[in-house]
Amino acid sequence: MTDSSLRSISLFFFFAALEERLVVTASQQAVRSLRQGTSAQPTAEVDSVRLVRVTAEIWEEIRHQVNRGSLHFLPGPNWTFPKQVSLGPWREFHKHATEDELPILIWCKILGIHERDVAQGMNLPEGTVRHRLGRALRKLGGMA
Amino acid sequence: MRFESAEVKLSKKGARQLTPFFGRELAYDYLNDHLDSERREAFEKLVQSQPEVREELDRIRAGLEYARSLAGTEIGEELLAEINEPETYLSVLLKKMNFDLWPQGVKWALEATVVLSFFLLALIVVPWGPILQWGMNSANEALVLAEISRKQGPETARLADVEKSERGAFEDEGTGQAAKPATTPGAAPTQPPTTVAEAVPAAPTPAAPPVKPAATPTPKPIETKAPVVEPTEVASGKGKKPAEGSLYRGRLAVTNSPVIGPKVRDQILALGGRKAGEVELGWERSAGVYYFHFTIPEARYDELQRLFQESGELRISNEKHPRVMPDGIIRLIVTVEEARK
Repeated sequence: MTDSSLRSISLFFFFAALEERLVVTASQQAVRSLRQGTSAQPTAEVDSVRLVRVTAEIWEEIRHQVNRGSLHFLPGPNWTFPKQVSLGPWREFHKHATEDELPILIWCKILGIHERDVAQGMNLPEGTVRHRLGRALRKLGGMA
Repeated sequence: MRFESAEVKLSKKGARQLTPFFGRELAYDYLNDHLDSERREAFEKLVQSQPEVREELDRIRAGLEYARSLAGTEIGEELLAEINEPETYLSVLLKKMNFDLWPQGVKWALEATVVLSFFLLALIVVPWGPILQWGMNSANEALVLAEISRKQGPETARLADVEKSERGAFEDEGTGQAAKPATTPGAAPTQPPTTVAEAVPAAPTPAAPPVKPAATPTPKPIETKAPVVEPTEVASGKGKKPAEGSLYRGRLAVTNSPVIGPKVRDQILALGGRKAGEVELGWERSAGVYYFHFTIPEARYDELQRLFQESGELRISNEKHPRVMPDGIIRLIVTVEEARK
């Protein structure tokens, strides 16, 4: 598995859970799950559709453990945020976003996965994904 | 879905007019260029006429910008390595047990039990006695700066022999000083050896290893066996446990002790007795009390006892004594004194 795939998985769970302990366990679980399917080339890039599918499954398992809006991680070398970017708006969005808005926004706008792949991974029409995305962005934009 | 090829007219005037509600739903598609030209045009008109739609569009723009800025978040290499590390048995076990889902109180109780078990195990298994002893001893331990090995030359060997002889000397009672080394039967009277082993100098010591003959034809060493007595453990000082000797102590009550005293002395000498200690045999310790400290062959003891009993009333007892006599030799301390009337 490439560093890029690892980074995508970790970032997804970071922004979805905002809790370092959960990020590590969930990311490890996702990595193992993705490895099981890629026996030929362990260093190959993970398919975006598969990444969406696996992270969605694990998110479904752990989302009830997440305390929405609470930030549980230690500032340090593990996480470096862009300069002049506050996590405040994201915490607010995290608190108010619905279950169908939060992961789609992370996949499409933070990880940069194409809406078509997200739609395929989630077994949804592409229009539905865009609609949820638009709703999520409106919400986030109102807090930023 | 694109409508570029569609030519469906949605109004009587040929214009595709949008409501504010519908315009808000199309805002994201407008920003991502997913609208056909007619819809785009209609939406732009709506934005100009409807400020709330414009605000909606601005919010989406701000949201997009903020989400893109979050995409620049970096993750540390250590964390990535931790996530990428292979699965362990413990992690699999915890996952199977759904340990994370357990109630917090149960988790704490379990952790406390595990810690307590380790603590108790350490208390039971660790040998605290020697550890504590070691700690206490190490505080009082003398520091050895250097060790000097003293090579034993002939002079030091002689001094050691003298010291050994003096240490083993008989001590007279009532004189307050140690006597010369005691004599043993068959030994020279002037400088008697203290042990049987010393009395038989020709006998090889058992500890000496046999000499391997050289390749050249030299005469073979003659092995001689101890002819008389085997070295006792006391003489060699290599016994498994310290041997224990005995001393016969007696009192002969007689009438007219000044006469009987010399007679007793003659009887002892006649039976092969020899004085032990420093004072002479039959030393008058106090008025009418004669002191006999001597050794005698054990085989003559019964005869000596009989002779003593003929002279007066004899009370004799055997008591333990650290000094060990050679086999067949006994040591006695007998006082001859005036019988009480």
